[in-house]
Amino acid sequence: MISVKDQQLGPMSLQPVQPFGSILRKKLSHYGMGLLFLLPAFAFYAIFQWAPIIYNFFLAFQNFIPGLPAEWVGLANFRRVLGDSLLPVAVKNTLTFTGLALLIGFIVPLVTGITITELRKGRSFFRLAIYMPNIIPAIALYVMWLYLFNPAVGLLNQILNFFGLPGSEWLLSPKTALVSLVMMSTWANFGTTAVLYMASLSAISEELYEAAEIDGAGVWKRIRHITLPALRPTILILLLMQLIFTMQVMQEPMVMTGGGPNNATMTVMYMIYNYAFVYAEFGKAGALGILLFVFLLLLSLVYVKGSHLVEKEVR
Amino acid sequence: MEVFGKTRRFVMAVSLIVVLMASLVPVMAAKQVTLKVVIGPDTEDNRAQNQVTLERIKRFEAANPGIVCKPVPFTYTTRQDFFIKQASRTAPDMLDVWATECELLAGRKWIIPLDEYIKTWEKADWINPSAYDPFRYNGKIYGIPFSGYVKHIIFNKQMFRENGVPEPTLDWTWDDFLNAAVKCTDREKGIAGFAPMTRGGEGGWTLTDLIYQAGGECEVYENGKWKAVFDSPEAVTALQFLKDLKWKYDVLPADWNAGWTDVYNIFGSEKAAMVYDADWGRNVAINGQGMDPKDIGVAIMPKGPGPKGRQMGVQGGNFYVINALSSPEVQAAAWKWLTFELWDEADIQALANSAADYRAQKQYRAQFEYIPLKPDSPYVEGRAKVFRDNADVLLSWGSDEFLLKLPQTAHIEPPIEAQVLYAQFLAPAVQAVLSDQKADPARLLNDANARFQREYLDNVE
Repeated sequence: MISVKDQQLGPMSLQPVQPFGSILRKKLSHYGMGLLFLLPAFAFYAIFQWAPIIYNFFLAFQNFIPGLPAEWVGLANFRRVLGDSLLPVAVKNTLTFTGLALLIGFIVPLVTGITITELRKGRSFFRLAIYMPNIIPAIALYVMWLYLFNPAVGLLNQILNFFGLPGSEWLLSPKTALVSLVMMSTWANFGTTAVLYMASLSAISEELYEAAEIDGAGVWKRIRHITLPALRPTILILLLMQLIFTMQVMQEPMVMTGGGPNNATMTVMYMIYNYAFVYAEFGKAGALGILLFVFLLLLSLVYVKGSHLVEKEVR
Repeated sequence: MEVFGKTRRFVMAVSLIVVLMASLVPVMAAKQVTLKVVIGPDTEDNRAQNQVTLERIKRFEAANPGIVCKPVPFTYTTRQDFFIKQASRTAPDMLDVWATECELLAGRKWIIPLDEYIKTWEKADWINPSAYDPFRYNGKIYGIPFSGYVKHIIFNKQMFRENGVPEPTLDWTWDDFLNAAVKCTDREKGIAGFAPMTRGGEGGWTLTDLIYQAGGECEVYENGKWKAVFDSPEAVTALQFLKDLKWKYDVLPADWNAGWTDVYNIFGSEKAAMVYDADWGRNVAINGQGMDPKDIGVAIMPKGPGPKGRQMGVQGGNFYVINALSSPEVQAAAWKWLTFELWDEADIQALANSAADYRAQKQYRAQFEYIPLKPDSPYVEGRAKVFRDNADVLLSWGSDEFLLKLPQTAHIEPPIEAQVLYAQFLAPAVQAVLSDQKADPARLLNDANARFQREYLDNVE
């Protein structure tokens, strides 16, 4: 029976409710192909990224022996990890490496990117030149820098001696080993960051610079009042991403120094690796992995907040 | 009706055939066992040895129909490969491991006890009973020793000659060692008198030798408890000696941060006059770097100072173990592979045949090894003859006097968590004294000793 209300509302109110199946079919017909293309990537990340992360949460609370059933041990792994006398050393080294990497590895790409952008000629050449270290295979990179750091015949000490300066022990001294690794890491990776900065710089309107030039602003004033404010969102994001990335440093100390000399380059990530793959203490590796994960998660939350700031700036 | 009856008979006949075939499949599968056996990684210095292994596989399969061998390139040089393979159940069913690995492998139930197999093995009493000791765990034997070593020194004879250094005597001392190192060092040419391993666990392994030579110990068992004792005056003397080699006498390589392979590459490229070696290091120098074996001499470890000083080197070796994750049928097959041609005529013949492989590959069988058999076992003399007849490729090391004395200088590795002790506690102390002239060996060892006691030995049940 048709009600008065239906008569007043008109024919629209009389449209039948569509069954769920047909809604689903409609959506699939719209988005199905796109979902299909996403499926391989989703499967890849699910299997190789998310599943191991989730599994690690269980591993941290177990005594796991590869090939055998795991045993639940509660917080025992966390207690053992936090009681490891090497952990404070590793945390200190990791924070120091991160701090140095941000100090050197942040300023260098920024200055390089701005400098190359300011060039009138040869931009393409320098853009290529600074990116070259990124495409060197890792093993070649490490062999090259081992030679450079050699205290007796290495190129760095030869350069220092040429200028009448004393050579350094580089990787062989606890005082200089970490800084040496930062130097190598910065050299290998600054090109990518510099290129990203240059891409952001190319988005700044030329008219702003022209207007500033007309008003008599020199290079430094143009950088200070136009370039840096425009780059601020990019700087913020890259800074935080670099922070998260460098906190997970492992490859450089593992290959170049073995964590020495005297644990001077032992990092948290390297400890995790040793727990798992040298001592078969997978539970402890999982526990320390979770602690690092929580710490990095907090940093990521800061990064997300930073992203919102960027969006506000763009608007 | 007739058609229906024919159809029914046809269907029944087919079903019967299918059931019979299906019942045969597990029987056929059960008759064939796939055994994962170790073969060396495909590198330059393994070529000849791998060929020998492949030929042995052929003979084994011919003698054991129903067992198919699947070579798994693997070498127990780093543990993580084994852990990953165990987790994925692709580890070899029988493998050879270091003498220090018993507690790790048996404690985690990754290997099976072999007592029941040994009871029925006709060669069980050929083996020196003490040779089993590194792989006894909770009263059971978990490994069969097949080669042993006692660490000693290998030196470059040509360098010694050129620098007027007499070759080491059987009872040389730290002073003689130091004198040789100083005379052979040439800073301008980048030649070091002595190149120790200092990186990772190898650094701790090196210091352990020096501690033993100085008269010290790493771990002792007292009053029902394991005690760390590497903070003793003897251990401090050992670390001080290493420190002096760097800062006082300057006989170490400029880049002293060297691991196992680095040291033998340095030696093989004639940039160091002396290195410690156990067994396989010289293989890198000879087959990897092309060093002439005639230029390599061997010497007992030098005697440390003072009344407690002794000539001592770490004793180790390799043991055959069987994977506990394998099925019982595969474990039985693994035992057959383990004992196949082991120390018998066929083994001697295979050794003789291998000489041809080494000649063809232009390589040497360079490793040093002790066979853990009693001297009167039939195998020992036969083997010695093969080495004599093929001395151009099958290398023997040391005079009779050297070989007689070497076992007397043997000292077993620390029984509890040796690899952890080496890598986490002793190696950092080594690196500290080599990287900082002001480092205090006594303080470093006191601190490391206390931590190792607290974090590891106090937790041993």
